[in-house]
Amino acid sequence: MDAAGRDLRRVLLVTLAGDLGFTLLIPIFYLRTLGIVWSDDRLLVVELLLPLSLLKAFVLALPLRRLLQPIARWRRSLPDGDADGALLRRACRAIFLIPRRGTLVYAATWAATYFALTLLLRFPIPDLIPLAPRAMVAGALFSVTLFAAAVPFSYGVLTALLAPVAAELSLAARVRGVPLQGRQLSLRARLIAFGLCLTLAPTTWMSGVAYMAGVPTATIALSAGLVLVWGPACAALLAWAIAGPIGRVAELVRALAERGEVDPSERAPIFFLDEVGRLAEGVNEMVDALDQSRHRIRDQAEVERRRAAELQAVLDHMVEAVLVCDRERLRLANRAALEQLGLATVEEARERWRDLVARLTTPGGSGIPREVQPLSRALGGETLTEEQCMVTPRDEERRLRVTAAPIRDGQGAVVGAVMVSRDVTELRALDRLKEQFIRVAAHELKTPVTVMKGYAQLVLRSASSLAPSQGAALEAINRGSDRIDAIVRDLLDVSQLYLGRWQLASEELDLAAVTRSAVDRSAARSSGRVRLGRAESARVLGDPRRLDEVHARLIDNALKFSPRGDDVEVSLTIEDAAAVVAVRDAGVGIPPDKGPRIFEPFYRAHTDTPHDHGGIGAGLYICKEIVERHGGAIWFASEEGKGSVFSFRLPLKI
Amino acid sequence: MPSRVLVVEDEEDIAVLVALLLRDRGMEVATAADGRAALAEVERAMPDLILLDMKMPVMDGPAFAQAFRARWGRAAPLVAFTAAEDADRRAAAIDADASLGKPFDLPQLVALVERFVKR
Repeated sequence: MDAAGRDLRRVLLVTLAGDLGFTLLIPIFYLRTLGIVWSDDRLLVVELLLPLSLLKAFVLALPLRRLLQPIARWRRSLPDGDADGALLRRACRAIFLIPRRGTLVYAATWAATYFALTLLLRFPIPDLIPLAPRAMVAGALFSVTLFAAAVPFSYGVLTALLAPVAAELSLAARVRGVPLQGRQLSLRARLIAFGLCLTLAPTTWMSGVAYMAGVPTATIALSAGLVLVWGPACAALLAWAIAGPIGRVAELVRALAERGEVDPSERAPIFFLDEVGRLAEGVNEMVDALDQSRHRIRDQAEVERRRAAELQAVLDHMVEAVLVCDRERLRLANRAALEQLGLATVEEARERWRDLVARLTTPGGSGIPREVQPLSRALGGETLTEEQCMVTPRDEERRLRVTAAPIRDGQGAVVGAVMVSRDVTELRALDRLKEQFIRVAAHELKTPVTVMKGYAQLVLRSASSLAPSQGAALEAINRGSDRIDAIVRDLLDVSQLYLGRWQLASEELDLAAVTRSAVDRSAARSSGRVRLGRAESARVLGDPRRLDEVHARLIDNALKFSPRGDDVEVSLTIEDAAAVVAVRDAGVGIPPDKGPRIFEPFYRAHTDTPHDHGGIGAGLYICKEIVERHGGAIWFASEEGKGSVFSFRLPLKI
Repeated sequence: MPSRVLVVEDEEDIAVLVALLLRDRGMEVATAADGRAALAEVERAMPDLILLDMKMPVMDGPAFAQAFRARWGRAAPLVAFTAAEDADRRAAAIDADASLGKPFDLPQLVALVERFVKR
């Protein structure tokens, strides 16, 4: 049996055990009060009392058990047997009934037992003198005494024993939302009733004793009446003094609860520094604390409002369109987003936004299924940036750069998504224009360069008829043309790279052959300053022309920045399933602060230094792009004044 | 009998340059300023090699190549002659036998031409 069952059994046992004690004691008082002195008579009374008491215990136990039944049933149903809360409701009703009904039953059984005994003793019983009429009155008074004495005792015991169960039930009822039932019995009424009982018990008993001793009835009635008025009157005064302050505190708490907010000017008065006084004090402190927290909440709300206003202002004046949604609905759209969607209000957008977002298409113009739209993917936890197109309500096609990302709660779960889109239509148009311009300009430049170069070479062919200075001049024209051509090519490459329009061939090749031919060619042009170190065979997938270009550019740089004429060494080794080409020079090196930027387009580490050898600063950028598009990486190590090693790595073909 | 090379090029300076160079190498050189003039020239006499510029007025290189291949097939090799970046791809697109990017070195040009015609 669980703890709950034990609680209830204890109620029964304690009540019956206390009762047993009285069962043994009370007969002594009874016999003395009624003046039964002969030992045989006493024995007979006890013999009569025995069955009566057993009957009384039985009559008491039955209703008490029945009263406790609903509570026991509810406890047995826990934790989940009581689906609709009916058992809980019944148990709550019972817990408020038990002290009152139990007390009445208990007091009534005592009174009834002794009243019945007195009646029995009135009849002629063999060997026993029937009770005199006077003793009958005393016996009746004794029954009243027992009733009055049993009421406070029983009520006290029952309420004390059932208090933990009552507390538990009230909490359970609160959790389940079951209202507490039961007739109100005020503290005041109970105090007066107990006052009456406490005076009634000794008064009736003493009255019975006095009556039996022959005191005149008028005297007894007068003194008993006085006591019976005085007792409850004092109880009423006490009840007023005790219940009054509690009532005030209760009213205050109820008012606070009903209003839902506190008024710090409201205070519970403290009459005495007793338990009630401490209760009032506690309530006053609670009012203060609530008032403070109300202020805190109000300040916090103000901060929140200001933050929201700031956010709204920022969002509304952004060029980018911002949409924020959770899993069901659109939560926020800024002004730019509304303009982009052709709507006036956020409410309008809330109703239609899914249709509107569905207008996004790929740059090719094909629709995007809902599950792969940026916001859907962001809700799936992905962060993405891509370009998409959208036909606006005014039928203009706009190109958007869309970024979408998930919004996560404290536990990291995705609760929403944000999409920021920027209109890059003009930017892309400008890019196209720029690219077209560079392409046309390059093409147009090439014709005069071809002419210059061609004729210079043509005249150089008949070298015998030229003066040496003329020959040198023509060589210079030839070199100049080559440089213009190189610049034009770089410009074209960078422009195409920038737009992502580069296409690389992908064929299987031996990188060593590319390295060797690039070294041989550079060696021939630089009177043998370029040497090939280790060159292991390395099968890679790639574009031979572009890979050759990477070699040539790195070797050219190495030669260019080795003004003392030191040799340049090129090697090809295999490291970790990758081919690594290293171009080592003993030249001027790269200043540490310039290092991080040298792979950026048009960045020139040696601008305005004695080592500025011209060029537009596109070479290393182009090398990096070529290497990275082959799935490789490029890097360098350098010490200023001592030289540099530029290396790149390409994955081997498996 | 010297080899005959037809230079189809709208830029006169370049046409003259190539003509001077190849004549110097003992070849006979005819020039045409656009594809249509070139077709007329081929009609007149089939050359041993055609150097074909891509970007020309009236009829450009690809259009000429198409017309030539349709009518004469592989009667003469075509060398695409272009300032565009992707000379190889363009040459392949018009089914040319070789390509030469502008600007070019003269020895490069001579070597290429001599691959197709005997001296």
